[in-house]
Amino acid sequence: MPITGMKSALLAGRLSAIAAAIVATAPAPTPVAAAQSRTQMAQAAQSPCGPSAPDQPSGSPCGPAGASPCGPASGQPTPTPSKP
Amino acid sequence: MADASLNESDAEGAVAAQDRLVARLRRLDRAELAAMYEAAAEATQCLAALAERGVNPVTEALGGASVVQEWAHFPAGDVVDPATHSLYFYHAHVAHERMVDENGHFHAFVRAKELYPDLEPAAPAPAGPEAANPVAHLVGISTDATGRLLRLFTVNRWVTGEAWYDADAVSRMLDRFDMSVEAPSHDLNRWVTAVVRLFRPQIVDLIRARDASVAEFKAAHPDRDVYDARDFRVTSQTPVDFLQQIRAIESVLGEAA
Repeated sequence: MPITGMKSALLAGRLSAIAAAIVATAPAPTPVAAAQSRTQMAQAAQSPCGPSAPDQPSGSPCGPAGASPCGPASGQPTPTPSKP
Repeated sequence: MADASLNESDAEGAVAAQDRLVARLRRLDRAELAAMYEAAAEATQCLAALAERGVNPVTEALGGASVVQEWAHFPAGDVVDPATHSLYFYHAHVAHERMVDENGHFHAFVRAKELYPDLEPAAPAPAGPEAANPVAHLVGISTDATGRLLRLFTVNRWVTGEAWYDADAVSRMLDRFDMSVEAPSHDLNRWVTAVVRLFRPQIVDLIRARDASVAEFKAAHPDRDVYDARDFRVTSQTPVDFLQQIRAIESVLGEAA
């Protein structure tokens, strides 16, 4: 869906009309599956909403888009800072 | 801490909620409202770009996964912006911990020590790999499976393993949250950033309510470590509606014109 008149709608205070039309086009829901590993259950019991891993040290370059800017979490247990 | 308005589903309740929202926004100056309106435009633009590709904020965060595995982080390893020290991820709790219609929620953080090295937390992060460079949690953003915003909330320290800063400090950190990286999704990163800016007044109120509910818990349980109290998880919450927020801003900006 092309965004037409976004800027003018903003200036005219008519953004809500465009937003309503766009929200109505939201794609279909995705099902939620049950937890599949004991590891994840254990992590959830500690800091269930903590981040996966510390990010890169201050001053480190971000690296190219599409590389691994988010740390080595995939396939590894998620470090959690607190113990129950 | 439950918010009674989360149960307001009838028309009368919706009108009352909108009136409260407009009254809250009237307390803001025009520059703040204009910034929120710009954020609304950016969020709308991101939603449109996502819809054009047949995805919504949730399915975009899932990155092609056909199911939301409970507790797993999406994307794996979270989205981190080393330049702004901001990060976020999406996940879903087990069914009995989700609110009605909730698919999951985004958690937004900043690396507090990176932004404010001299600022001492009210309570340090728990010992562990995060302790040296702790996060501060800004807000949780609940959505349904289409990415429709449902509620905003804050949580206790043990839930996120964060360093605990007081409301004034976290409110300042809120303004530093900015996902400027391109990966894994420019549109999703900007949408999350825009949502935080669009709902800034409510988030500041939630952070203050968080501190109030923690103080209340401390007073009621002086022998317990409130930050590690496993029966005290959600510290404040409020229902939100994307379109109502935009309409409320338009209403207040229209009054001022």
